[in-house]
Amino acid sequence: MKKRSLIIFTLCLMLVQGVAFAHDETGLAGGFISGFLHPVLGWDHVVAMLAVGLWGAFLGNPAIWLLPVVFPLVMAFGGVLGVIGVPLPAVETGIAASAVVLGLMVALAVRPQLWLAALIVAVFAVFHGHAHGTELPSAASPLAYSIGFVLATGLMHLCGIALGLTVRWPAGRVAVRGGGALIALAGVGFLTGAV
Amino acid sequence: MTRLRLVLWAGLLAAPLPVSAHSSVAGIGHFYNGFLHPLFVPAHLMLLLALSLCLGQQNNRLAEAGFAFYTAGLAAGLLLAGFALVPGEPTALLLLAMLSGLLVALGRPLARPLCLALAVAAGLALGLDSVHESLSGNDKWMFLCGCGLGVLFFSLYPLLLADKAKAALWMKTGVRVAGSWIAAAALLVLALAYAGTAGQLSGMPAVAPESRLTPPFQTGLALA
Repeated sequence: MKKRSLIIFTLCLMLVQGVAFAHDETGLAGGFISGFLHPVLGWDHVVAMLAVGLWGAFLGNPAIWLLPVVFPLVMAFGGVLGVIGVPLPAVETGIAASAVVLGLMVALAVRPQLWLAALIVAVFAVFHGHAHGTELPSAASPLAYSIGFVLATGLMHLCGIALGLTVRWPAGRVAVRGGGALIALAGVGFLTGAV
Repeated sequence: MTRLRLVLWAGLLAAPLPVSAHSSVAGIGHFYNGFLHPLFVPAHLMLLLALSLCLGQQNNRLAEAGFAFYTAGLAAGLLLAGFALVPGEPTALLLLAMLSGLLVALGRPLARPLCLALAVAAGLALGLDSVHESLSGNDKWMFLCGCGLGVLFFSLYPLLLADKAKAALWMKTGVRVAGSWIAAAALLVLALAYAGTAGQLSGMPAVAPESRLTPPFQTGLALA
């Protein structure tokens, strides 16, 4: 009886088995997911995006609200360079350097003129965009990939801004500047290949 | 035997699967497939969102006039597509989405002629690209009617959202951020299309070979 029950139970489980996901999603879903995960899974992208948001908080109005509007557009410009095959020297070094520079800006609470801050961020945005752009042609669905990676980048950026808004409290200010120092350190790790 | 039944029930209960009888596409008919069509085609959704946000940012009189022009353009596009007079152009959808997204990101009041021209062009482009080649006769027209109503229905939400967002700076900025995201995504795919075309013209592969297997404007789901 026990054996019979076991056989029936096993048969039941075999009948109601789920679908095996041995392969990645393709089409729209695959394109969107790979695009969304591309910046999220790259620590160099993550820390730089967070740093931009954190720095925006130190810069105050209107920079804090201007950067998330301008950044995706400049990044897309970098992406266009990548897509059409315009070579950009030392892309990975530029991305790692962005973490160092932006992290230091946050750690030292540097407040340059708005145009200079925008220029620094824009230069690094081109490097990040170029790296995403070179991946675009091999995406399952380039449009869904683009939407995914722009969304992910923007959300990380907003996450940095949300964290940065804590600078209004003394403890938050210390935490944000400490975060900036960690980001700069991580950038040094990316540059030297230690991370 | 009771024990056997218990084991059987336990086995079935322990491994439930999601019910898929009510798929968003399968079995809902051509009208509702058309109604949902703009949601399943990224390029349509992007243009719809960008244009609606752009109209919502304008003053009420211009937004109303723009929506009327948008509706007229959409109706014309659907009719032209239904009678197979003019083929749809996916590049136009992305170009208009990028332009509308940029205007949303700028967040400035638009000149009336520009706003109305953009609205009618967006409606026309959406309508022309909504036809489904596998359908004919009544099925095709039901699909197109659903498409038209779906586009208008789903455009109202972002339009009203952008209008209400005028009340607070952070909400206005949120709308502008959404516009910049749409413009950025559209710009990238346009670049990819350009790179592909440039490669074909010059005979050189301007983009990776894999990309030519899938068109950059891959539309969404096949009809059930």
